[in-house]
Amino acid sequence: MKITVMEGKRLPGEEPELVVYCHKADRNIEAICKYAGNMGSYLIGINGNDTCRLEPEDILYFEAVDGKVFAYLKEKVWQVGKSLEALENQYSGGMGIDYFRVSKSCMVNLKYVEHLTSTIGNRIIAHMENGEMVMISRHYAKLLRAYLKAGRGDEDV
Amino acid sequence: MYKWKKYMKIEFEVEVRACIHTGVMMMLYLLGKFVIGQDHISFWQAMQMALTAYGVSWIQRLLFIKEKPYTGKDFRIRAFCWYAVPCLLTLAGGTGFGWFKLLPLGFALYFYGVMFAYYIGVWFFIQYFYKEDTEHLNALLKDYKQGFRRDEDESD
Repeated sequence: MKITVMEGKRLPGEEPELVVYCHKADRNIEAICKYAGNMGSYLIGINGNDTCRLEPEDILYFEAVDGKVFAYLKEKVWQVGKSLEALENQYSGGMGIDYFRVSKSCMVNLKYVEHLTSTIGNRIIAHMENGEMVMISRHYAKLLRAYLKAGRGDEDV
Repeated sequence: MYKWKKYMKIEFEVEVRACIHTGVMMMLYLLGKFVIGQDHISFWQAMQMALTAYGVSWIQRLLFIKEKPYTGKDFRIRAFCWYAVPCLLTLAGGTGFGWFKLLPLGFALYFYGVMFAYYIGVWFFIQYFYKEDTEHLNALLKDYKQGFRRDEDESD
């Protein structure tokens, strides 16, 4: 891919612009756009009276409980104001951050999965780096296997 | 619709396992009878074995039905029940339906003994299968993470 960086085309403080010239936007181009679009993006986490700026790459997993979505970090849990679907659209399958939907109510950051355990009923347990365990249902376990085999989602799963 | 589909999948899985259990019961029974000079099994006995196997299969599935990680003591208790309850159910089926009436005591001992060994064998086979699968999965995860880190290093 030919890369050209043109400096001095924007005023100081003005948002930089990325333009991709291509014949057709394939999966790689879409991943680049998603990555560029997510750069510097962050989430607002709420925990009681505390509010915190959360970097998406620091989040181990998201879990939806009673219509609320929680972001699990290594030591703390924060409620975020976005739906799991919105987070999935924004962060899964991109570059740099890689979340994977593991059940109807949970999405894990594969970067923080310490190891996986295959278990009865063709389900998988994801052991996260903070010691917690996340159950991956049979349906999503199948998708995860295909995704890991395809290697970073380069192929259709 | 989703729940219905989920139930159907579980039902199918249970029936497949029940068929295997039924096949094993009938084979053992017929083999035992062949040894003592008989060579038949009645239709009702076959149905009773299928019913017992169906019950065994459902119990084995119900013990691990929840979508949650089973670990530690909870897993050990369920694993024990996965083995012990089918043994008791087989014993109850054989006694209750009278499969061994007019047959030598050794026949019943042989049947129950092999069935109990079969259940434990199935459990160890399943554990071996998931252990192998876990190793394969972690190899995939390791490769995936290495690719991920390589990309991160390249982007730095």
